[in-house]
Amino acid sequence: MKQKRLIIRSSILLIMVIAIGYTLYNHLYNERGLVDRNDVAPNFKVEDLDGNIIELEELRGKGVYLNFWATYCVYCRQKMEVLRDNYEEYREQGIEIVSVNVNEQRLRIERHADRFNINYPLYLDQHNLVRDAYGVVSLPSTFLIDENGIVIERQIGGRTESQVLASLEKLIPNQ
Amino acid sequence: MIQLSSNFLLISFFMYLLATIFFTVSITGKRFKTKEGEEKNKSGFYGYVFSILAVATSITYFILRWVGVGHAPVSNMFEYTTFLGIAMALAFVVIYPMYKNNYLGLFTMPVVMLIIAYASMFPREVQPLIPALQSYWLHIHVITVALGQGILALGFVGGLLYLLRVIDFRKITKKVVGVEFILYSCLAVLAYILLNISFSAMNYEATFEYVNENGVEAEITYYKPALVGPNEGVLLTEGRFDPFIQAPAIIRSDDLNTVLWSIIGGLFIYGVFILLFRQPIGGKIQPWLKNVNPNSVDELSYRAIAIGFPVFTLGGLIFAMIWAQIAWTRFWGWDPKEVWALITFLFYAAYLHLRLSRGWHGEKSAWLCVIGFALIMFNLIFVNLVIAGLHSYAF
Amino acid sequence: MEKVKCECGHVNPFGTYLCESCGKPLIEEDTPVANMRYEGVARRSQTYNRTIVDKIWNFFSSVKVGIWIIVLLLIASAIGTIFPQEMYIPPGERPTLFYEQEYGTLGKLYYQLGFHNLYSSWWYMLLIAALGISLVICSLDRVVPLYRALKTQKVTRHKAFLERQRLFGISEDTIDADKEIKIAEKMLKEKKYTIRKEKGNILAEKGRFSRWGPYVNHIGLIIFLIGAMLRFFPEMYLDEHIWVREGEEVVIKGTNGEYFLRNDQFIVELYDTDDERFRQAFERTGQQVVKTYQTSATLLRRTNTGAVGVGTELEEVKQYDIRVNDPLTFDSFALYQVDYKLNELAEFTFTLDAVNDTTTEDLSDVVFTVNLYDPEYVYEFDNGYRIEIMEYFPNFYIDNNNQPDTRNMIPDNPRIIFEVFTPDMDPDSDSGELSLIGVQVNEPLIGENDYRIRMIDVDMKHVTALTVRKDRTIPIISIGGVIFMIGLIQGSYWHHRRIWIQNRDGKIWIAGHANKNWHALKRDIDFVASKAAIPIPKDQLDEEQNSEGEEGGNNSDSTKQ
Repeated sequence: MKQKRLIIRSSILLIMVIAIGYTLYNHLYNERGLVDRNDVAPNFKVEDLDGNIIELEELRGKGVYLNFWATYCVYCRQKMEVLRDNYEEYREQGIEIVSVNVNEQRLRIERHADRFNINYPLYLDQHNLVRDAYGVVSLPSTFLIDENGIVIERQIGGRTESQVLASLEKLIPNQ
Repeated sequence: MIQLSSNFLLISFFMYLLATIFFTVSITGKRFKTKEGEEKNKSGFYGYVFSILAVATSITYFILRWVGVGHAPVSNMFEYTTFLGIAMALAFVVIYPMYKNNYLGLFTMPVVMLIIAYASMFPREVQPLIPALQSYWLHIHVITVALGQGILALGFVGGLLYLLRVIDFRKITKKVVGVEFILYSCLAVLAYILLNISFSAMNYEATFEYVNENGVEAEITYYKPALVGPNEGVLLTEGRFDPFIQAPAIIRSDDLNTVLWSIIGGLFIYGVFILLFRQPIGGKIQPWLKNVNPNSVDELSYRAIAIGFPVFTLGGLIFAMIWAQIAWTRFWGWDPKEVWALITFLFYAAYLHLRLSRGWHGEKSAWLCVIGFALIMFNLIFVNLVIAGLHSYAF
Repeated sequence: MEKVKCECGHVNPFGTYLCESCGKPLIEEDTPVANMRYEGVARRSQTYNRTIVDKIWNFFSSVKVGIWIIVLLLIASAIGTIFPQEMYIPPGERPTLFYEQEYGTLGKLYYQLGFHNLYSSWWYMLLIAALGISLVICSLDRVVPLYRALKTQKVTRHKAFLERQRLFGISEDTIDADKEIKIAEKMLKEKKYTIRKEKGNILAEKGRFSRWGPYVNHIGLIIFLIGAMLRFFPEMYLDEHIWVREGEEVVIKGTNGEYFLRNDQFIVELYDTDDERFRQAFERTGQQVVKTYQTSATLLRRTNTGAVGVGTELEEVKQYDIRVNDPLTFDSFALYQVDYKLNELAEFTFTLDAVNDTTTEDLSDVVFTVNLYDPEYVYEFDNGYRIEIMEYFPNFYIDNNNQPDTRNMIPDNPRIIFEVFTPDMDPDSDSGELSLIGVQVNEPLIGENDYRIRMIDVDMKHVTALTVRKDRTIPIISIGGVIFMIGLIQGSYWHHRRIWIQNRDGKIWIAGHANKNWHALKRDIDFVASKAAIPIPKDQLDEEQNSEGEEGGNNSDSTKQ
């Protein structure tokens, strides 16, 4: 009888504490993005300035450095300069840089590419469909996607040159 | 149509006055009509009849104005406060037959009159509704809230009656000060109304040039002599009263001035009473109430709150949430007005739970009823006019 | 814990005040009226207090603790309204500075204490959680014993139980007690009392179901709180914002790229200032009042499947005029009119002038329109002129390094650098004249120009802002609200009344108990007494009061526990 009472009371209290705890945790600490570590990267199709279309699924077997950027975002520029300088080297090692602009005017992207001598393709995201699918709110946002299409890291905000290089290293397939 | 409705409101005001007079006679009449107990009962009945007539005429006002305006007339301070008064009278008319308590009438009717008179100090013209307010849910919400608050206000009247009946006014204690403060507050509202009427009858206007909160020069017009002037104010109108002091720029100095006048006016009336009778007002009223059964008014105020609480909850929280979901995209947004409705709800919920424990019957409970009403008034006046959120009626 | 056996034979749990069966007081109190709270049953919580779990349980089982939680919530909520919450400060203001600038030191303190986000703070949420726990435990602890007590109550109650009811009376002398009790029974039935009889004694009861009201409303509240809690779980709640220009199609956030919205037209309608009804109001305030904000919208749905991105095909689903108070709903989503921006720059139309009339060429054909949302790179004309856009800044500013830049992609302050090539120039090798053009800005970049680009037309568009809302908690919250209201009404507008009438040695004993509304109980008894010769019970609280009244007129102490 007493045992039963203790069990009932303990379980009621436990259920309530877990529910409340989970709610508070979700509210206060959980900063998980819509797409985050260990998620399957949502597939998408984008077009670059020259009209070439790529689909994420076609890049299976390659490490994908998916970067969301804008011309007016200062930290994006720094990151893109690092990428530019190392693009060729890492492409040979099986890494693709997919640089998705947040639906800016074509003209601005074009001029930006010219001014900074960007040597990798810049993709347009009409209607921001890809940005929304990845739940991107601030720029730059980067997703490291491995050769199996799984997100291994989500990075928000600017990164130093060595950090960007370290990220690229991580993406090299079949290590 | 609107003119006609205003006439009805005026008529109802006099009806409330007549009801008050009859209820007064029903209680004090005994003294000058000894051995005529029957006569005394009659005036209580007449008091009730006039309360019904008053409610009927004021509801006629409400309907006529509704027709004239095209929406339920509860969408600015004048309309809402008036309806609150009507709701209180309506609650009285419904509850009176249960308890047949003339004292309740004697205290309710003047409070109703005070509320309606206070309401008519706000701009009375018909105002168009901004898009957010164009929703029948809003009107359902506001009408239900007013009804709930009207019933809850009867709880206050019962509580006040209880306190006046049981508190010992022979020595000045904290309780006496408390009750006197309640009575004084009513007098201050009365003073506000009287001063407003007299100064606007005199067409008093004084314009000042001053520096506003953004450091810019501006002009402000006072409709009462300025006791407190605006920040670095310079009187422009000739022959008007020059203020003693100046308010800091962040405070609306003309409102502060009005509040000051009301406080002083209330003190003046209160002072006259004290000088005349040489005792607290409560002490003067108490002998009239010796036939009041404290248990019965205690129960009455408890019942008023038990009846009013579900109505208030339905209107102030549930209907409010439905409206908020439609108009503001979310049913709850922690807007000050919403929060204060929640506070009122929590307060009365605490009251109802406290009633379960024995020590909280009678006097303590009566104090809580008074505080509850103070919360309702705070919500109406202070939150609307000072804190103001989405509901800002006072535009 | 020992059980307590009453003299009637019923075995009561430890801590029982009044025997569950016959009502005899088991624990003596020094008041003339018995405490009928929860029928005098033992609340389980109080009786066991060994383990930590029991201690926690007992803490939350106390109504006093519940009331304290309510009071704390009340105070905390009030504090949150002293200064505006962060979400209500003017848009664009930085909270770190705003509170101090606007409200001084107190404002700074308010901000530092985190009161600017009080209602989503961990401690406020914990208070609400504590209220929820208290609701669950208080209700569980009381409803079970109360149910049992009301179910097992006997008709014939103990003498001491009757004596200590608030309403109690004994007849002086009766001719035929049984007969009078029969009449009383008939009268009570007329008043819709349920009658139970035992050995000539009766228990008349009415409105017992109202006793469950508080528990029903607590269940409603708990469901409501669960609903509120679910909001913090993924997929339950969506709060997004979209801006849509007239003529533009925009994906509706949160729909996984499935739904799109086109803004066909946005209008702001004002009240007619000639409207006789509102004339006074317009005169007093001197302001126009908005009558309608409306977005005429078309909802579109994606028809192709597969990867999101290029190649999206859309079909129209429905057209709707979204207004304040009238959202567009589809699936579990709702789109609300919340904001707008009038006259956003959309297109500039230019022509070319020769500054010094040095050319005799006809430039009247050189007219071109630049779409500010997506400008062309080059504008070519039949007469051989060619104008290129060298740089475009939709929202121009000079950055920290003194470089021209744009803040974002919205053309709020557009600046364009044009390069003009005359027919005799080669755009690949030559460089043309540069001019910087914007709103009220038109200047050559290097030296003097021979050609001047002149703006001849501006096209603007309205932009509407809509909130995208999905709230799956609403059904739960609604059910909670409805149950809560039912319980509240059940407990407030009906009252449990009981009358015991007993024939004790030829005398009629009567006692009455009401849960709220003693007044109605007294009237019922008066009604019965109008026909049956039963004693009119005295209100023992009144007597208590009267005896105290003589002492000093203050009764508050007598009722203190």
